[in-house]
Amino acid sequence: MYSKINAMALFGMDGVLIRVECDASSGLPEMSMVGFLGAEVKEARDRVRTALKNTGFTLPPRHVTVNLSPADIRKEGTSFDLAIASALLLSAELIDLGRLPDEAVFIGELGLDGSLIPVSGILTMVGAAREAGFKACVVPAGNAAEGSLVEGINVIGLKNLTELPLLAQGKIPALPCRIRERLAEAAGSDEVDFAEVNGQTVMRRAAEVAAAGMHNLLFVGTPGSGKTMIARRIPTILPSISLEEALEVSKVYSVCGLLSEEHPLILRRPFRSPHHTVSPYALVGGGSKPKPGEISLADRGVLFLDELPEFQKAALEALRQPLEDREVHIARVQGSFRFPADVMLVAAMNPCRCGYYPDRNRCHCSDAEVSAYLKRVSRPLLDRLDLCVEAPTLRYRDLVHKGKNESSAEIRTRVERARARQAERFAGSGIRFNSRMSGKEVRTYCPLDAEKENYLKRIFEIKGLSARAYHRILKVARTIADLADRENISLEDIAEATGYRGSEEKFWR
Amino acid sequence: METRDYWYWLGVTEDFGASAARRLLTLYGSPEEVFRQHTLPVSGRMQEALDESKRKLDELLKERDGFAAQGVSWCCPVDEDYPKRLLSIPDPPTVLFRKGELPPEEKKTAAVIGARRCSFYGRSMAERFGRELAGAGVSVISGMAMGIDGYAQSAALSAGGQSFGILGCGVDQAYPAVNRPLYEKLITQGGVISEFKPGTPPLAYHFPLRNRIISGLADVLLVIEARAVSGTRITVDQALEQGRDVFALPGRLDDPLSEGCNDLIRQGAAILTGVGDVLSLLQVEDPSAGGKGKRKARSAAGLSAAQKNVLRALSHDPQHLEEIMMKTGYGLGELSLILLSLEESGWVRPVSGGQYVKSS
Repeated sequence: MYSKINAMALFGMDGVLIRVECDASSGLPEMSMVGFLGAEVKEARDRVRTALKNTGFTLPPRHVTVNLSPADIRKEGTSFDLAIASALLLSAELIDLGRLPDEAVFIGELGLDGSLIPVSGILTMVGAAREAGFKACVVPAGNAAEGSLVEGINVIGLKNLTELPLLAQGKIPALPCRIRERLAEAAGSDEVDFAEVNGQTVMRRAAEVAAAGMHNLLFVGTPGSGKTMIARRIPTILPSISLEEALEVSKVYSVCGLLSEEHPLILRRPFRSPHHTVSPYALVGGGSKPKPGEISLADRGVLFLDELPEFQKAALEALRQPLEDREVHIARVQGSFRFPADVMLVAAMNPCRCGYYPDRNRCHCSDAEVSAYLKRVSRPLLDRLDLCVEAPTLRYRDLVHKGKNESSAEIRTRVERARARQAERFAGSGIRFNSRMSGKEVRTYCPLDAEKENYLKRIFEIKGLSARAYHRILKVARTIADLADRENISLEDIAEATGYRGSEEKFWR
Repeated sequence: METRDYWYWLGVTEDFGASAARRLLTLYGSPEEVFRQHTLPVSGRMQEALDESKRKLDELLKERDGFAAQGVSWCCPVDEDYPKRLLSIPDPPTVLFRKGELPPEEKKTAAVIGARRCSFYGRSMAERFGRELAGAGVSVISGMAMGIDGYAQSAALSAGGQSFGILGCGVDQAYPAVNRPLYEKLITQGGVISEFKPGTPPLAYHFPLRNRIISGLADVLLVIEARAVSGTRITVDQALEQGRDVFALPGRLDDPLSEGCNDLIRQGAAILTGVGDVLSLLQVEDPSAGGKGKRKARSAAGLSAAQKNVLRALSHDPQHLEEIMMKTGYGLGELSLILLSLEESGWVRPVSGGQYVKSS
């Protein structure tokens, strides 16, 4: 008898519907599997047969053909096991699944004892099933919490193959969708807070400006000056993550298999801090079967690169395109993959090898060594870092400071107000943040009167700035004005914005 | 062959320094006599080097005639233009190459020397003394090195004065390469001088040797910043041997870059408290005497109260924006505005990123 079960394959960040067909006919007892299968899918034959045997199903000795269609897409991964087992049982008429073969998608890997093993990418695949109009998804019990985050589709978790016959009788309930409650619970429960940072007013301010306009940020400073501490706290001053954003971010984590049963949803803005030995592929994504990299895992949050000059050159250069497009494109023979990469890049570095330049009593690097160290970071990458601040060395009185520092929540209120101004300004223009303005938009949204134009011109002459710096200074000045709830950019805004550029122009002469 | 050719031969023979040459000259009277000797009371290696250069004499002289085309001239102690100041030192260079000029005899000269990796305070002092010496018509002699040397010479040239760079390599090369702009400017507004033949690379042992020419050409030596053990100390030792006066800029006790200077003062060097000290020793009139204080007061009067506040908070040591904010109580935007205006009028200078120093 012929049977058909719907399954789902993961291609990058998309779920693709796969039909598992099974036909049992007379002939020599044999089971063959076709449909452009990867090695792990071919191995499913042995896994499924043994799992069925161990759960008490006895397949009749018939000639069985299993086809995974469409047959021109290469199938990889272990998520087809459950669908293959179900199709085999159906065609052998050992179970009755009622309307499920038409209305549900079956996803899951099998152990030899018939237990269902969680797979990665459930969130994406369940989402794709809902898009395709399915009413239910059958997934391993360990994935059920993750799958149930998708609204508008029933997600049923199975522990073991033996539960399969109970399915059609409706004896296994679908998990309720609890995404909104989870998100509400998590709101405001960040583990770190800006209130813990003493002193460092300039770095705090730069972090606030960067967060308000989604500007990329660079900290330069001596070791132990609190660069990492501040970077860690930037996600806490970004506006709270929305439902859509949380789902999109969680999808990336789902594809990478980083969601657990206990934590099936990413509830906070991500903060990713890859070690400086990271390879280009691990940073931006890649591999023969492309997987998202760190930049996608930091989507809607902060990607923090500590010790920037120590990163491989290739890894840093690979960041340039995603930072521009807010997406990673990876082309493979099977097709082209897209991963989200809407991040705020925060980088930190020492001013020289020993870290103490320009304090000549402590820094013994020669000028050539200092400039060689700085040159490891390429100009095009630096051009994408809108703000650059130098961290002052912390003094003892800052460390033991007893007064109350401003908390993340207070800063976030200002950031959200600045974001609201931006949303209003850019409504319908396709951009959301000041940092994303093009040259044309800078002219439209950052108008300067003659006095300010003249002032900026003078600054350029004093500082010897490049033409590239012009737009960046204006974009940052726009954000500073937004933070102060000012309609027009003031001279002070321009001066402050120049300060964030000035240091970089000076370091990289 | 003329007398000068013999001098040249003695001067460019490799492995054969000025002090060895001086010893042979006192023994035999003239380079010509030295040339005629078959065996000399020198080490085997030096004898070989002398024999070798005798064999190659024609080549050497031919090469020498080519230098003029590169703009390089040379002189030896018997020449009219050979600096008189060098004749009085224990081991004057046997031959001296130059691009540009030699320091004029009638003008006073002062060497400004110090650490290559200097502090911002050192830099601003080097620039100040370079500028003020040039303003008083004193030629500034130094080693065209990174740090104090280069800053002092650049400032002297910018102030329209004369400056001379003594190199540890051939005068056809700008070493260190970053000082090429300074090298070019020295050639037009002074000169670069070396006892090494054009084409000689900057080898480490050349630098202590060239230091004696720096002090030899200078009437007085100004030490801006020096570590306890440094090349600057070699120059000072040679200056004392040559009978030159030494000034040292006093520094703080805990400052490694001032250890050398403070030590010199302890040993009896004059304390440098202003260009007036140097000028009165050189018996040069101080053009800014009397007028200087007034001029500064006048320009400071044009500053706003806020600018003065910020200026008061600054010093010659780099200070971070954060410290300035703390001292003055201004917000970042306001402070940036004030600092930019001060930077525009030349009162402050940013060093690296968020740090500022007062400029003198």
